[in-house]
Amino acid sequence: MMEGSVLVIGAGIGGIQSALDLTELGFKVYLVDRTPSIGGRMAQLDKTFPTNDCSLCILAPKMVEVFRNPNIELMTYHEVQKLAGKPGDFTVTVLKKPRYVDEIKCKGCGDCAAKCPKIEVPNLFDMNLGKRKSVYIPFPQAVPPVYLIDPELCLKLTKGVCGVCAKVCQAEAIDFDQKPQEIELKVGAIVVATGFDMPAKNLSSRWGYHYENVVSALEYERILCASGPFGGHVLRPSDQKEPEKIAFIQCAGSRDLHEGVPYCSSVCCMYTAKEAIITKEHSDNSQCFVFRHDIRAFGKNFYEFTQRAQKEYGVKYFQTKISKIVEDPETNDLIIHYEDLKTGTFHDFQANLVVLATPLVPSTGSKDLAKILEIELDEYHFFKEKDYFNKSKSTKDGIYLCGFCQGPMDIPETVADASGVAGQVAAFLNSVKFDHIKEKLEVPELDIKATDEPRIGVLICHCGINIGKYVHVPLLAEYVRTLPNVVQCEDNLYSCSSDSQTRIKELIKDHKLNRFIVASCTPRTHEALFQETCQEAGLNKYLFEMVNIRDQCSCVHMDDAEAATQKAKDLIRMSVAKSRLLKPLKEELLKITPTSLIIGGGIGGMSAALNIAEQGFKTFLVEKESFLGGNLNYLNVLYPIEENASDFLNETIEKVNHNKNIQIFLNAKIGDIKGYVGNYIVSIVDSKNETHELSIGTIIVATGGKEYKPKDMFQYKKENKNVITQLELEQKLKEKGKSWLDDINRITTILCVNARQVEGITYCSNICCGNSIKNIGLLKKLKPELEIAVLYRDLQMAKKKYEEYYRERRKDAIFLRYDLDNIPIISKVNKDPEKYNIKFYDTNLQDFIEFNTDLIVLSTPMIPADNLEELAKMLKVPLDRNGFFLEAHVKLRPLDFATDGIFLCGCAQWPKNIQDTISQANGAAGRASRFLSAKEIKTSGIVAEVDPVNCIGCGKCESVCPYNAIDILESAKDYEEVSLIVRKSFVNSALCKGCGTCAATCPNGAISIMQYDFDQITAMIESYLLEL
Amino acid sequence: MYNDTLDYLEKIYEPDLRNLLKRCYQCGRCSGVCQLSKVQKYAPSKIIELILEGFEDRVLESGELWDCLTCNQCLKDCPEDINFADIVRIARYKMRHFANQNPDEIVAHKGIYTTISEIMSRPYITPERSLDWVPKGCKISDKGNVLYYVGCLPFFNYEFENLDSIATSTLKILCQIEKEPIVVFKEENCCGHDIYWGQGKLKTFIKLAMKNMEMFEKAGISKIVTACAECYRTFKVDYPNIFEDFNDKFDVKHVIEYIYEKWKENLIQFHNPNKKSEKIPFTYHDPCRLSRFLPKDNNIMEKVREIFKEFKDLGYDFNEMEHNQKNALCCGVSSWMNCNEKSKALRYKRMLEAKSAGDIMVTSCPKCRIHLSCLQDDFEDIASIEILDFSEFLINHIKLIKPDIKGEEKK
Repeated sequence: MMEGSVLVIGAGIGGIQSALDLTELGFKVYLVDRTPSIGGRMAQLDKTFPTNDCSLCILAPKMVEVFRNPNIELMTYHEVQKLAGKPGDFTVTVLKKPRYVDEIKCKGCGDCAAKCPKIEVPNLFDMNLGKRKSVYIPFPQAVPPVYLIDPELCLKLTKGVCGVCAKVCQAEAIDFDQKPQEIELKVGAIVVATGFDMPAKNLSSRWGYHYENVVSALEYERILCASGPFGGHVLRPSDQKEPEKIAFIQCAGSRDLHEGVPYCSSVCCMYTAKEAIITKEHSDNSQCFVFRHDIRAFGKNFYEFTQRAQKEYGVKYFQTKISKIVEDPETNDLIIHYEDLKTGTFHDFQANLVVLATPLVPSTGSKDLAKILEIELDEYHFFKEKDYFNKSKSTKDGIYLCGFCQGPMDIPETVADASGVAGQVAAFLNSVKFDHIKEKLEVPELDIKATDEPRIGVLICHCGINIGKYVHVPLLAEYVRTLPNVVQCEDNLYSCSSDSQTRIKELIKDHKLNRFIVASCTPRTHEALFQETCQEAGLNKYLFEMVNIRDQCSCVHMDDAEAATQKAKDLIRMSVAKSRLLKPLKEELLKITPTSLIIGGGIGGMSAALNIAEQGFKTFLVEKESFLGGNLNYLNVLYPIEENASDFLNETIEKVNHNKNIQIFLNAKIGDIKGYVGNYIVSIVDSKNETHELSIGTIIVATGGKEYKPKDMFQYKKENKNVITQLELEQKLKEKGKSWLDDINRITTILCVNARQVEGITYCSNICCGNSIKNIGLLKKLKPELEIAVLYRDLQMAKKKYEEYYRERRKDAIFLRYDLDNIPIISKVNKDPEKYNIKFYDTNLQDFIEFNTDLIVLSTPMIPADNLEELAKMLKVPLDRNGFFLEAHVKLRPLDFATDGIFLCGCAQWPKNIQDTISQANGAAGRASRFLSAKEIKTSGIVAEVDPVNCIGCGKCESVCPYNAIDILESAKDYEEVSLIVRKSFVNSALCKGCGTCAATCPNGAISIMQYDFDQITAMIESYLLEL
Repeated sequence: MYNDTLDYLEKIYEPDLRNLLKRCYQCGRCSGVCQLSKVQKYAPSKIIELILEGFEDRVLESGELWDCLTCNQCLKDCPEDINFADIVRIARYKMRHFANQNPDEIVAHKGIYTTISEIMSRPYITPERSLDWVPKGCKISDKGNVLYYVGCLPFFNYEFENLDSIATSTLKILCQIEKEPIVVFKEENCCGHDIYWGQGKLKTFIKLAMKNMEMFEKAGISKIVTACAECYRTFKVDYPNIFEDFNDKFDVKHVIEYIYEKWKENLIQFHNPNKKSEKIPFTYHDPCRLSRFLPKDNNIMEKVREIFKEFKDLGYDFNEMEHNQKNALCCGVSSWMNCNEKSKALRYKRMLEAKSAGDIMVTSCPKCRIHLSCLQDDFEDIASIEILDFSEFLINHIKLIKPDIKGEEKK
C-alpha cells in the first residue's frame, strides 16, 4: 500500500520548488513550516546575485502559486512531532500551533495590528532590527496572508485584559480560545528542506558582534531591503545615520575549528559582493571594503561578478583574515585590526558599520527533527546523505533531503535539488501518481463581446518603496481615473501579495470590469500571476495588460521623480488605449508524447535517463562516442569519497543497460529536431548511418564539458612530455601504475591556468582545485617521498566535505600563492631528464621564489563540449558568452531553457562536480517528466495570425521564423478561365511563440500578432502623441 | 636509562617542523593577535610560511624564535588549531642542538634558575631542600596520599621578597582541610617547565620527569596539588605525553580546583572576619598556563570566577580587566627568557589594566607575580596595586564547615 501524497518539511525556496514540482508530477503535498509564512530565508534577502533581482519579487509569484495550488495543503505554523509507518506509507503527526486568528476568516487587512496596543518586540523576520506588535503578520507578502497573535506578548492571553483586536476585526477572525491541535497525515514520502540559521551571537567576542554597529549579513539584507526596518535606507543601528565606510568581514566564523564551523559556508563571498554593490547603488557616499581570505566565486558568472564589484563599483578587497574588532566608544565606529597579506603590514581600519559573513549552520531543531524522523546527521549536524552521489536521499528510505539542510549551497543549487527530489519521489511513488490529485477548477469565462463597452480596472503598485519613492502614485491614480473607460483605479503597497489577488477579483466582480491593468513591475515575473487571477474571476486572461512602471520609471529615473511620474502616466494611458481593443483569446490543448530524449551519455545524461525511465517513461539516450560515461571514463579516483571512477561508472552503465525503458544510441548524432514541446520529431543517425525518427515529448541536454588544452602556455608543448594537464595526469594515474614516477622527485601543480583572467577565460571553472588536491593525495600515496608544490590563487573548496578534504591534503604538499600581477614563469633547464625552473612572486612570503621541478601539472578550466552551436541552433536555445548553455533564469530556473520542453543539466550548464551533476540530472528529469506526467498542456493564445486574403505567399515569413512555426501551403485555386496553385502562409500555433518577426517582415501586412496587432499598437502610439 | 630518554624524546619532539604546521592556510590571524607583535615586529604566520615552504633553516638561523613569549594567544585564535608555542619549543631544541645557538645572554637572572633545574636533572643529584618555611602546626610527611608539590618557590626566596607566603598559605589550606599529613618532599625536583619551553633542553626535561615519576610512585601518592600554573600544566598535559598513564596514576589539581571541589562538597565555606564597610575592588590575572594552555574542557578560569562571585558578600568587589580569561595579556616573560624593555612595556600595559580594575590583583602563577611585582619598583603609578597569589588571598577567608553545623543548616 503506497500513499500518493508527500510531506514537505520547510517552506523556503527548496520546499516551495519541491512542492510545486511534486504536484505537477501527480502528488498531493502537505507543506509544513514552523513559522507563520512560507518563503524561508530567501524572502528575507534584499536582492539576489548575480542578476540583482529583488529576491522577494522573484519568489513572491512562486509563493502565491503555492497558495493557489489546489494540491498543496499549506500548513504554516505547524511542527512535525511523530513519524510512524514505513517508506511509501508513513503516518506523520503534525502539531498545529494556535494563531489565535482564524485563518479562513482573516483577510489580512491589518486592522487588528493597527489598534493593538503599542507594546512591541523585535521582529524575527527583520532579524530583530524592526519591531512588531502582539498581533502581526511576519511580512507584507506573507503567505498565507493571515495574522497571528504572540501569546507571550498579548495582554488578553497573558493578563485577560485588552482584546481590542477582537473588537475591531470585522471578519470576526480573532479566536482567543484556539488550542494546539494534533493532525495525522498519511504520506508516501517525506522531503526535508529545513534550511539554515545564522546564529551570530554564538561567535567569540573577537568578531565584535556584541557592538551595536556590527551586524550579521542577514541583518544587513534586512537593512538594505526596501521593506526592511529602515525602509531601504542604509543606516547603522546605533544612531540611524548613514555609514560612509562599511566593512564586510568574510569567514567570520566559518572555516574555523575554534568557532566549531570547520566547513566553508559557501555562499558568503558572493552575497558579500552583492551587498557591497547594492550598498553602492543605495548611496554614492558609501565606501565598501571587503576583508577576505580566499575569494570563493565558483558558480556561473560568479567570479566576474566579484570583479565587477571591484572594477565598476570601486569595492575595495583586502586579502586578509582580521584578528579582531573593537568599538571606539566615542563614535561607535569599529576598529578592525588586520594584516594586509599582500603587503605584510598591520593596520587599524576604522569603519562606521561592520557586516559579518557569519557561519551558516543547520537550522535549530534539525537535531530534534532527525530524532523524530530517525534519520542521521553528519559531523557538522547537517542531514546525512545516504550516498555521496545521491545527496537527496537521507539515511532512511522514503525520506529525501533538499537544500541547505544537507550542506552549504546557494539558491540555484537548492532549486535544482528540489526538482531532483521531486523526480526521485515520483520514481519511488510511481504506482500511486495522481491518486490524490485534484484538478484545478475551471471558472466559466465571462462572455465578452467586441461590441461591449470596455470597462477597465487599474491597480497601481507602490512595490514597497521601490516605485512609491520615485513615482507619485496617488497623483498617478488620480490621473488614471480621468482616462476614458477606466471604471476603477486603486493603488496598493504590493500588488503581487495574495490579498491583492483577492482584491482584483473583487474589483472585477463588483464593477463588472471586462479589462484589467496592473501597473507595477515586470511582466516577466508577474504577468502570469495576474492573468491567473483574472481567470479566477472569469475574465479571459488576454484581457489583462501589464505596465512596467518600476523598471521603466522608478528604476531608470530615480533622480527625477517628476519625469518618472509623467512617464508612468504616459505608459498607463497607452495601455488603457490598447486595453480597449483587447479581445479574448483561446488556448489550444496539446497532447504530450510520453517519451524523453537525452542528449549526452555521461554521468548526467545517464542519471537523468534512469530517473525518467524509473517513472515509467520511454527514454532515448544519445551519445556521440562509442561508449557511455563521458568524462568519467578518463577519471581515476573520485573525491572526497575516494571511490574508483570505473566502479561507479560501470555500476551506472549496468543500471542503464538493464532498464527496459531506456534505449541507447551510441556513436550517434542528432540529425534534425522538428516540432515542439510534447511533439518533437527527432531524427537520430546511428553508428551504421541509419536514421531513426523518434517521437519525443521532452528533451534534456547533458552534453558535458571538456578540459581546456593550454597550448604554448607554461611550456605546454608537444616536445615537453613532463608538462601535462590535470586530466592527463589523471589518465597516467589511472593507466600507468607508478613506474612512470621513478625519475620524478618534484611535482608542481599550477592552478588557474588561463582561468579567472582579465583576458582569455575569465571565469572560475569550479572543479579544478578539488581535483588537483585529490591528485596530490594520490601521488603521495604512490610515492611518499615526492615533493609536491601547488601554486594557487584562491582555493575553491566550498562544498560540504571539501574544506576538511583540503585540510587533510595540506600535509601532502606545499601550497604557494601567486596572483595575476606576477604569473609564474617557467623555463626548461634540462632536456633529458626534463627539468623546469619556476619563478614567481610568492604573495604569502612577499618575495620572489624560484625552484626546479621535474613535472608540471597544469590545472586548466573546463570549457564547453565541441559543436554546441550546431546543437543549440537545432534546439533553438541560446548559449552564454562562455559557450555554455544559457538557462531560463540563473536563480530560479537553473535547469530549464526559456523554450518549453527542453532542459539542461551538468557541465552543459556550467563546470561542476559529479555530485552536483547528478543532482542537476535528477532535477532536469523531474522538470521534464512534469510534462510527460501531464499528458496534455495548453498553448499560449498570443500567436501570429495570417490573413489569407492579404497573404501573397512570398514565403518571407517562413524564412525568418526562429521557431519553424510557419509553413507555406499550396492549394489549387480555380478561376473562371484559369486554375493556379496558390501559396499561403500557415502558422502552427503550438510552435509559435508570438515573437512577431513574421508580422514585421510581411510585405503585405497580412500577419498580425494576437494581443499585439497593428490596431492596438497604433492606438498606443496615438494615445501617447495625443497628450504631448 | 639513555635509551629511555630517546624513546621519550620521540614523543615530544618532531624532527620536521613542517609536519606540525601543514594545516596552516595563511590567514595571518596569529600575527594580528600576537602579544609580542605589539612591542616588536613579530609575525608567526610569516615564520610558519617560511617553514612550510622549506626555509626552516633560515628561520632557525635567524634565532627569532627565541623571542616568542609562548603565551599561546596565537593558538587560541588560530582557526586551524595550530600550536605555534609547540613549534617554538621544538625549534628551540633544534636551534640549540643543530644551529649551535645558546640563548644564555637572554636568560634573566644570569640563568641561575634554569641552571638549578638542570643540576637537579642529574640522576646522581638528590636535592636537599630546606623545609624551614613549613608553618608550625602543619603536619607533613614523606609518604601519604596527597602531595603538595611546592615547585621553585623556596629557591626564589633568596632573590624575591615574600614568596614563601604562597607556599605557607597553600600548605596551611591543605592541612586545614585534609585529615592526614600532607606529603612535602625534602628532595623535590623541578618539574622542568622552563627547561621544556624556554631552553630547548628536551632531554633534560625528560630526565626531570623520570625522576619525579619515580619519586611520586615511591611515595605512594595519588593526588598532586600545586599552587603553580606552570607545574600544573606540566603535570596535567606535558607529563602524560611522556608517561601515558600519568593522569590515571595521579590526580593533578591546581589549588583553585582543589578549593573549588571542597567548597562544592560542602566541606568549606568562605568568610571574612575583617569585613570592611567599603568594598575592596579586586581583579584576577589569568596566567597563560591556566587559560590558553589547557584543554578546552578544563574550566579553571570559570571556577576561580565562581569562587570570586562568593566574595561579593564578603566585602570584595570582583572586576574583570579589559583582557581576561583566554584573552588575558601576558605577564611579559616566559621561562625566564627575554627580560627587557619590550617585556616591561607588556607588563606595564597589564598593570594599567589591573589598576583600573581594582586595588588587589590576584593571580595563580608565582612567576606572573614575580614579573608583575618587579615592575612596581620601576613605576610609581602602579606601585599601589597589591599583587597576591590565589592561596594568599584565600588563606584568611576559608572556614571548615563542621559536620554538626552542616546538620543544622540542613534543618
